[in-house]
Amino acid sequence: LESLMSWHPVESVYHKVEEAKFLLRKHKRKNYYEVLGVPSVASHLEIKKAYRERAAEWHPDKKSHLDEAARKNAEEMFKTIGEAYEILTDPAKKELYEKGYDLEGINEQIELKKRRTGCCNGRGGCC
Amino acid sequence: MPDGADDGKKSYSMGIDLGTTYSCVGIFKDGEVQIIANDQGNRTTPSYVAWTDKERLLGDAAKNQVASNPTNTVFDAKRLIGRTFQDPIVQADLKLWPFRVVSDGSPDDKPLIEVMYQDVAKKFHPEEISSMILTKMKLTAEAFVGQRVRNAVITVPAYFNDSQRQATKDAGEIAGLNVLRIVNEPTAAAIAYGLDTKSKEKKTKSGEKETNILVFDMGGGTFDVSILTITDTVFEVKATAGDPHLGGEDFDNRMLSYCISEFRRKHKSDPTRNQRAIRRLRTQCERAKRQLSTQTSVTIEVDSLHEGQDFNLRLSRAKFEELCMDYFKKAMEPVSQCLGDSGLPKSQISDVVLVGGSTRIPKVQELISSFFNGKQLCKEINPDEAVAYGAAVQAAIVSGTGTEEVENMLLLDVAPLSLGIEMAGGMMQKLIERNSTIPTNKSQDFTTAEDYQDYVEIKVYEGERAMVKDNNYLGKFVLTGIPKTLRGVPKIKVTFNVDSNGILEVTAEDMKTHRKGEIQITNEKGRLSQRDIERMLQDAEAHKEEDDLARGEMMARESITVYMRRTRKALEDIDSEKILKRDRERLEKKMEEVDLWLDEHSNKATKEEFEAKQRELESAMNTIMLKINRSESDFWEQQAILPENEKTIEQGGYFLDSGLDIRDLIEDPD
Repeated sequence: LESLMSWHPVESVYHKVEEAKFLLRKHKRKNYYEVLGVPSVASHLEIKKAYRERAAEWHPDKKSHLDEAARKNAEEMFKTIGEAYEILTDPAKKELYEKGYDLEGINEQIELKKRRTGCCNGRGGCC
Repeated sequence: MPDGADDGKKSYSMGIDLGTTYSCVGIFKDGEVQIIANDQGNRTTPSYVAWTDKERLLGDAAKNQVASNPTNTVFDAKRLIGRTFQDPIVQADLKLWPFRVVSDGSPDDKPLIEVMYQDVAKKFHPEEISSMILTKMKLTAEAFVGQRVRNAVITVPAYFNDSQRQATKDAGEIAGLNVLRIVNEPTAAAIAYGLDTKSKEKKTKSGEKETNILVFDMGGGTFDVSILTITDTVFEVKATAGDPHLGGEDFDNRMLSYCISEFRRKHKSDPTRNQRAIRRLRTQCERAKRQLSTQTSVTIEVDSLHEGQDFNLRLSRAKFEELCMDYFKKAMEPVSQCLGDSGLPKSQISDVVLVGGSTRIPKVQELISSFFNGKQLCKEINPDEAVAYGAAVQAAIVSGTGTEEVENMLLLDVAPLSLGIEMAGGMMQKLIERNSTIPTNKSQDFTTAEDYQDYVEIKVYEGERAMVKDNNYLGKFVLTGIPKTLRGVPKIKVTFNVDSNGILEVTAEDMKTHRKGEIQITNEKGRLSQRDIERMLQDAEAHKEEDDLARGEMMARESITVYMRRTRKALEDIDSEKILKRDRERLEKKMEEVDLWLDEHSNKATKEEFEAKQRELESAMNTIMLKINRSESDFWEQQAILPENEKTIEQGGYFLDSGLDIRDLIEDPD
């Protein structure tokens, strides 16, 4: 499809490509509700409570009796839990998440918005 | 594994509050935290190290002799740790320190502390000084539990940056410790507060009650503010702010320079270059400052301070406050910043907890209280010990050696400063915002700024300013081998990873080639390399031997003096009839000889030499004793009153080390 687009730079094809990519990413993204173990209609307070419980379970401090690999694993899990909590308790980010964006997408959108509203510093990339 | 229960014995983990001016150690034992008193009986130990011409002194011993040995007594290592020599803060402090600090001359520009030890100039990294203090704290803990303690949680000011945290961890390693965790001081204090209030409430209010507290931690050298939410067992840090260089010592310095100017005005002479005078005056200033927390005025008196002139000054609390007012006011800025960051209104803070010695200053308390509209402050926890207390609890949590109540607790700490990389135009692109819960990782995609650029240089900074030049540079690395193409096409994923200690690791990956580059901000700027650490660890061990040696010598010297005293006494007691004149003379001569030898060698002789001398004396004594014994059995009965353990022949008794009674050997009458 992508190569097709380079031959037919038609807007409709372009959109199809983007949509397909978007769906792929949506499919691959983590389900934050599952990570926290809450229903998708959970309230802010419920999310907070679940976060604390999950964090208490997975914090590396709680895994000191396990071996190196298990602790690394727990740390990764803890980070994911933190990520889920951050997204689901920030109204703007949560909205984007509901729309189907994954973490990267959410951050991109937030950055875009910031740049649109804030003073326009052209981002030149890494130097 | 942090907790290796060796030989079925329970291994302990300690919490160390490594302070600028004082340090404190606690250990979780028998279901509660014990704050441990050092060999002088003090529950806090001065963070001082000194070198005399004979030995190295630590803690109280070092601080007590500071006036007579100012240039070889080192303190304030915490104000140097993780900084460069050219750091403006180091340059400013330099003028106030009586000891010498020099640059190591390398591109890293690390500061080195120079002291004279046995006529040789020795240079130490601040990490090494801190490690010596940590060793002292370790010994204190070991003496208390009666076994080796290797596992430790060490606290740092919440506002310490990455380099300072790393350096503190290194100091722990040099001291031979297994550093379980670097914990923020206000967070540790919050644990102490949390456990204290919880035990008071007797868990009547069970369930999900949220309490927000603000910890105001002002110690000898650093200042921190943290806001935490406590829910049952979870301690979550919401925001933290502070000033890594503000504390009691700054107030001392203000008083000191005021006193100097007064002295100059009165006596028209300048004591500034007289290190000894300055030190004596500083000690008096510190004492006066403490007294002013309870009294409204004090007199600072130092006899014969400089050029035979006495110093005498009456100082009121109001004058002290005037001298330090700008510092006190400055301390309120992080408070409002922290509140702003936490997103909580003042009214939501249910308790303001005071920690650190400087919070005893009435004006400081007054300012905080009025900031919170006249709020009652929480002074219930011990401001000097709360941090070590919390660290000990955290040590028990991490190592799993606490009680169930403690092990259920969870601490969610944050990164105190935003972390990011340099973008085109010197802008700072933040990846991790300050006050993010740790451990955490964040990634972001970046691209090239020029056409056909085949490498990127990633420079890592920490701080809040928009331009990287205003922030603290941590390190850089280069990712090469990016396929040459138009600018904006390559996709480079940069990942920041902050571990539970608040220490950062950065990786970058080209998404096309999957080529990776990474740095742990370890071997960059100001940080010691692994080789350095190992070398220092060896040095520290050698030093320990030296110290042990000194201790051994001291004991041997003590032993021979005691023996001399006893022999003399015995000689007096023995009836002159019962001892041959010749023998008595021989022994007296021997004793005189040893006396002379001691006068001459007592500072230079080794343990072995002392012991050899003692043996010479003993054998002389014993021959006589044997002879007496033949004629006088009373003597033995007298000697028999000596306690069992003093009866070996070495102590002038009549048992050999093997337990053999020498009386059994006496058969042959000469």
